[in-house]
Amino acid sequence: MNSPKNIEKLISELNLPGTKVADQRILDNALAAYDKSETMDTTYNKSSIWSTIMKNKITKFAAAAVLMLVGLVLGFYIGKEHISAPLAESVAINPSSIDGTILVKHHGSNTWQQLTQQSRLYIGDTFHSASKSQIRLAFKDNSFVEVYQNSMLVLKSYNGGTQFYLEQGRLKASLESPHPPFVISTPNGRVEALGTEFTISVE
Amino acid sequence: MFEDKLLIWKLKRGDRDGLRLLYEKYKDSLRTIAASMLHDTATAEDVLHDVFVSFAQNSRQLHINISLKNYLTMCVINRVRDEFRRRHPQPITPDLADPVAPDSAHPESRLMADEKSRVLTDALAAIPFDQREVIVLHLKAGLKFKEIAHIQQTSVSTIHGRYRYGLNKLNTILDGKLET
Repeated sequence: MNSPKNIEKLISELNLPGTKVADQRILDNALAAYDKSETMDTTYNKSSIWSTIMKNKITKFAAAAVLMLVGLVLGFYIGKEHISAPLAESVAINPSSIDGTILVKHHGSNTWQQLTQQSRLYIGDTFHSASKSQIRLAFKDNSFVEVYQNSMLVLKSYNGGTQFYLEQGRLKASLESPHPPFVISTPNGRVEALGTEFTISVE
Repeated sequence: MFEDKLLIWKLKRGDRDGLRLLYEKYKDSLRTIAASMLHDTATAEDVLHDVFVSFAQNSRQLHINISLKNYLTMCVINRVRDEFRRRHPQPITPDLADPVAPDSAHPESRLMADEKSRVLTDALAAIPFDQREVIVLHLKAGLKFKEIAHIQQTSVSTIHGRYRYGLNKLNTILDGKLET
């Protein structure tokens, strides 16, 4: 006849040992895992130290401040680089005279920038002259193009010859002779300069 | 307690013998807990294996706030619970059961131990998991009811109830089957 007391005794004395083979297998695997952890210990300690440092509140604030500062500086320089210096090389055309508001948008950018006499120009640049504004683009051989108000002009190429696309507005080209090929394209057609001075407009 | 602290200290210093001694010290009691909870010696072996391998991997960075024995017991219980949730417990028939007696036992006493253990573990498998857990943790792992209440996330009085109901059921199941 069993009783709860006897059952308690039986269970507390219950022993279900495994075989020697099973014990050896478990111990071998545990020792292998222990040995393996030794090689990882150095790495863990390094990361542990780093994590301890980073848990500090002051470190967190300092790290956040540094990251923000780096972000701001990078953002400023990348933005500036992106705006003023596209991947292409600048061309030898200078905005020699500017009246009013002239905007430029570099190729690949969606940002319009105010054009100044110090601005560098690049192939693919789009120029927009606001109302009552005009600009003179001077070439190194004293040739120039004057773009009048409410115009939209794109510099298509500048490699042995010059090609502009006048989308809208009016311009005057004055070219020194002899001059390399000089072409103005418009939505209505294409004009290649033959004389020294000409005016073209697109309504 | 002091011996356990010494073993942990050895482990942290890279002494493999610490792990060996620790395994020898706790393997049987932990395996018994797992096997009596799962009623499956093969899965109990797997549980013991996973617990010790995981313990060995992390032993250098170990920070234990409780006794090592209780810590290892908790590791076993957690894995037993995972296993229990993963599959419906499959009662094993005597033919499929793995040997549960020590290799060194005398053949005759081993047979008796086998039979007694089998009857007892069969009876434990027949009572609800919560009651079985309370009984095994209290009687085999030596945990207090308060500690078990914390593990099962219930009140101490509920644990008392589960323990009492479990023992009564075992008493009914084992009536006349075991001679002490």
